[in-house]
Amino acid sequence: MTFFTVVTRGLIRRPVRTGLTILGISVGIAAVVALVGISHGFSKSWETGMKARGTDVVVSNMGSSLIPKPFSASVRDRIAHLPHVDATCGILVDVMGIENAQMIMVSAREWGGFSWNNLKLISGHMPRDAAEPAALLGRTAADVLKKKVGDKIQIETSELTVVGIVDGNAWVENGSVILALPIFQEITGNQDKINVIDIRVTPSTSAKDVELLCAEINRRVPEGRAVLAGENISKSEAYRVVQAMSWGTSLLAVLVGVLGVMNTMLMAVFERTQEICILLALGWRRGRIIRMVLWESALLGLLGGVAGVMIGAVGVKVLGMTPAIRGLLEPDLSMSLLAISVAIAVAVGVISGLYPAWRSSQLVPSRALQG
Amino acid sequence: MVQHELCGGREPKNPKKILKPIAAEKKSRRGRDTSAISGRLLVPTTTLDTATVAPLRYIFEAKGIAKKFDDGQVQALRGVNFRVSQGDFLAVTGPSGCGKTTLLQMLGALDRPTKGTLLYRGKSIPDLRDPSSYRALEVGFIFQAFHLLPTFSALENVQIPMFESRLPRSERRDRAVTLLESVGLGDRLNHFPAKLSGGERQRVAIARSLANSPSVLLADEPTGNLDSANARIILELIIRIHREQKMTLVLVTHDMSIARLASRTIQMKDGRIVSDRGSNNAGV
Repeated sequence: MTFFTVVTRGLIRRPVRTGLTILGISVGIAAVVALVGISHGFSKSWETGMKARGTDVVVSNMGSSLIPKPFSASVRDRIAHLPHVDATCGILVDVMGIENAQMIMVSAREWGGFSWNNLKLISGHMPRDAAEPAALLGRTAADVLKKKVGDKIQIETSELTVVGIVDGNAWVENGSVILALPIFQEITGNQDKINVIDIRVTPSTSAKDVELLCAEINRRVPEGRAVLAGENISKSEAYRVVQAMSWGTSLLAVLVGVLGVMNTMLMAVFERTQEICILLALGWRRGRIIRMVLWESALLGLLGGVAGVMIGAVGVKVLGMTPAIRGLLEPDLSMSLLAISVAIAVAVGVISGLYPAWRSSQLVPSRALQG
Repeated sequence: MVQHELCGGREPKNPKKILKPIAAEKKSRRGRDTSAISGRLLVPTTTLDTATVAPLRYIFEAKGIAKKFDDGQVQALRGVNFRVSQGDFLAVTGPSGCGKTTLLQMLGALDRPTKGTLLYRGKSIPDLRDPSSYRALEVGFIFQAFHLLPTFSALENVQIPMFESRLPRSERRDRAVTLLESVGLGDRLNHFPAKLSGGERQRVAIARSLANSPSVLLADEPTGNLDSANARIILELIIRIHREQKMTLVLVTHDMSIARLASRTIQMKDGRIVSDRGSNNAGV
């Protein structure tokens, strides 16, 4: 028998209560995994989408919205000739409801821009020119919209023909409807407007030169802000708000878990007053009693954390497959998020056990002899 | 006395051959008393540092100890004086509420006197730097209500006090098996308290009290919850251990027939000692 035999025996003596407490923590941790995983995933989806398009720097005005604000397409001309700029592509992007899909991304690209290059045709053909009322569907978008080549697709008041299904080599690209820029500008009434400029820098440009390029663009283009492609979303105000809300909601759920564990451990200490007094009478040091209670609550946290990570991971996967957001974002269940979630759960356990542990250490051993 | 009668018909092993005093082992591991393991395997030893104290005749000395409860409303002990020699069998008797259990609790460092001096081998018990160590290694408790932990098997219950002895896990287990065999429960090792009879539970408690080879056994009405047959078995087992291991035994009982088995009997009333039979050093 080891000290941990004593610890685990304390937990399995009330299996239902222990199980419910673990469930309580796991719900809180599942919320952390789901909400933070989704918000990270949103950022990651954009980042991988940018990388797939071969974009190094993005100019946009995210403001407090997750969809950047439109600005004049002529801004592109002020950037195109700057040093280290290899190519540019003006884009008008939006998230909208299309037919049976509640939210789907529409990405309209400047005709002939490099952002078309990553698209690999699965079926059909590319639009023939910028004026053709045609749309490409990423393969996930085609699944969500239940469309094939030759079908019609209704965007706002316009009807376009699906001319091709493409693989864009990224979650966001595959979940998008891709159009020529002028078509979408007309549909949305944003003539001569774009809200993103993809910039590809010349090969062998150093990181420092890219930074200097961003600074120069920011000086010349007050309408937007140039950032490295990977930071486009993560540095936006809206994303930070979403992330803060994710953590805030998660921490509320975790707080409920804290109260649950504290209640369980206090009950366990009160219930086992006589047993703890016996342990003290048999020579157990108060420190060992405190460690016993803290280990029990930490173990509750660990089990709740592992269960929560599993529930959260499954939940996010299921959520990612729902028609409402399928193809829109890629949940990011990184090992670091899962490890942090379990660590939070263990910390919840230990913190929740502090007061019960202190209470247990205050017991008077002579009570063991009574009765 | 036939030994196997003590253990419900099962032949117990002779504890003389198997019970090493853990405290002595611990000391020898620290290099302070290397003669302990090879030498007196049965005689309980102490973990208290008595090297600077002249050999002491008395294991306990109480001088004018008093105890008040409930902010002085209840006075459980009123100036109690006595001495107990090493190896004595002291019975403490008296009616309910006379202060017997309170006295026992003080000897076991479970409670502190409000007034007076209480010494163990010349050291003040209330002022012990490490009362946990004293409770774990110097004294063994046997309670009327057994106080076994219900979610642990007999074998595990006996190992509970050994956590403070720092014995390796395998040695703790081996020692617990040996102790349970010595009280005739070799075939009940993995039984939980709920599956044991009252007599068997108390035998587990006795084995547990010997876990760390204490110098003193403190028994509080150890037969109080048992039928007469089991009470006799338990009592004989405790007395046998006291004799064979030359262990000091302080036994609280209200049963005069049990008290008469002791070498010395203190009778208490209203928190005072009213008689002390068999003592050759009655008062202090």
